Amino acid sequence: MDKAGLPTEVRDIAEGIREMRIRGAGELARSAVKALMIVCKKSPAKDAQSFVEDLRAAAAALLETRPTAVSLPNGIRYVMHRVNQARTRTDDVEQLRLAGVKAAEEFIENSTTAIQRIGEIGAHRIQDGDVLLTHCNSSAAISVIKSAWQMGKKIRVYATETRPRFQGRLTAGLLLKEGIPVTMIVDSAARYFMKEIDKVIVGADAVAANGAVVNKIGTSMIALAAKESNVRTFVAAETYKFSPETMIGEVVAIERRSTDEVIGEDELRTLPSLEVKNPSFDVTPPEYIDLIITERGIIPPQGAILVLQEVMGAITPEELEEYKTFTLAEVD
Amino acid sequence: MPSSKVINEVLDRIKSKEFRGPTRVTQAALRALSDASRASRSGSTREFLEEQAGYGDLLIKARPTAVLLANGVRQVMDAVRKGADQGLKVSELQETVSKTVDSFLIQMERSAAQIGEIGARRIRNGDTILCYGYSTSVLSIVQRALEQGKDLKVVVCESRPEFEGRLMAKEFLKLKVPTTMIIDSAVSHFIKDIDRVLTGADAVSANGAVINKIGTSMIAAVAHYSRVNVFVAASIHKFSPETIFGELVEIEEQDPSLIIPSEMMSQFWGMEIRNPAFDVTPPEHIDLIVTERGVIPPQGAIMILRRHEEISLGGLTGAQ
Repeated sequence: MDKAGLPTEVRDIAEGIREMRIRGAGELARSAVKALMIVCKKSPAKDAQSFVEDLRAAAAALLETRPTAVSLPNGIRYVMHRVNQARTRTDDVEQLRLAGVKAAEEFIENSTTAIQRIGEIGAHRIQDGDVLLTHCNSSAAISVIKSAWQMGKKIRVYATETRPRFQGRLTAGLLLKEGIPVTMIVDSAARYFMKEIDKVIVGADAVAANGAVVNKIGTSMIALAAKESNVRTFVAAETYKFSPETMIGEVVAIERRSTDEVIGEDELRTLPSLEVKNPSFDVTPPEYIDLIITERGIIPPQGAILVLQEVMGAITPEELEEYKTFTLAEVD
Repeated sequence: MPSSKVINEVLDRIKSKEFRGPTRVTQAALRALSDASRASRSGSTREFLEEQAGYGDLLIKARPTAVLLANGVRQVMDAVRKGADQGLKVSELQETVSKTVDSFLIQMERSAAQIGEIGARRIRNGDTILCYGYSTSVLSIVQRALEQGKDLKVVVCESRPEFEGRLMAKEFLKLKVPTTMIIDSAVSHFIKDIDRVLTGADAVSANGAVINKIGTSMIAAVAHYSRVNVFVAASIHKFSPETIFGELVEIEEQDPSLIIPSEMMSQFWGMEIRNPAFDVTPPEHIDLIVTERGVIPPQGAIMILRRHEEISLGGLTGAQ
């Protein structure tokens, strides 16, 4: 136990997140949930009230580490929601411990297998001979593509290079390793090739309550080009990417990244009055999205609200203050 | 095949992408054509005609999408043929080439100024303008609007893979207009801040479709669906007469190493790279085309082509 009364393992995890030793949306959420599980098991509380307070203190310390990833508060919320529900039934600390541990295990299990499940579910929607287009580097989208390929479907993939950081190269490398034919194009050539594409498949950094998808900058333009060409757009997203804040009207703020990703410092120095804006994400409206593939099944974007309520429970404005995700940032 | 040092030189320079925008390419190519004609040692008018036609073909093939260049060469060849029919000597035909080139280049400059003047009228005080690719006509419009005392802001896309946007930004900063650079993918994100989209054109086809730097069509689609006006600045010399007769404008593919540097290619064994230089923006997504003869809806392209007196089916087949 440290000064604040948190088990040292929990402190370590919080530090790991803050120092970015723990990375990736799924891993972040699982680590935070694991920390809560430790508190559930180790809390010396003798009554329900102080048990919940211990959990809350740990949750606050974890939320503080990275206020920018959707997955982390969602993992915490998943456990807290279930402990709070249990509390309406019982005041027994041991019962609450069990409920917390069970919720944590459930979350860890679900999120660990989520990518795999999304792949299996999504692959059914890919047909033999399909030409797919993907943007950026999404493990969920890649999982769908790989599963379809492993099912023996002869597919081809167009990968956008994804400026400014070229994450499309990572995607291309991963797909080529599987033997999947890949064609690389610049981001702005997506519409040019849209006539050859059967389906667009992308991941998500966050999904809003109305089914709008926050994803790598450029996604919404590609989805529009697809819509306009009568090409289907699929979004592959784990349920811990769904953003409960948006249920009560919060807007997901979008991170602006460093300008030197767009134009090198040396060249920028020759253009001193040039302003450079480099947002990480954009918002694709639900009208451009045909379906969202989650580990719990396929939903139309309008079904996002159902997923949120099922997984996170109802969100009150008071609760929001506690969990607020201020700005969404890229998670490596 | 005729061969000429000046022609080969300019072909290399076109290939190495030294010139940005079709205007610069055309200027350099036509000047080379004029120089090559002056250096010709042809003994007969027939020989001279063949030689010039050969140079013209080479130049056109160097940038098949640049209709401006094709139209310039066509004008030169028409004049030379007419001269030969009238029985002019080689030395007189050489004079004809250089005069026609000069007048075409002067006409181009005049066109740019006229496009600037006409286009600037459609820019309102306080506008934020999104620009894409490198375009002399766009610069001309923005410059003229600034001279009229309009308060403007421009947003420039970097324009992958060759980053022409950086050159464009430099030009805008010289004009002292507040300039913001974004990546091409960010257009949709910023479209709400934009009052109009302004691009140039490499070619305009008979149905009003605009062939321009890859990515233009995606930006025009976003603008159209966001109810932001799309203006295309294009000289009438960029309207493609071939398209009246059903020809498609050829879209060149560029060097794949612009997308993945050669030294990285070994990491992507077996990967295909597609790098088209241009795309086609459908007329439905274009609000108007600014030409030196006035502003037209894209559907008016056919009118421009029909009225363009230099262009006739005869001249067309002759240039091939």
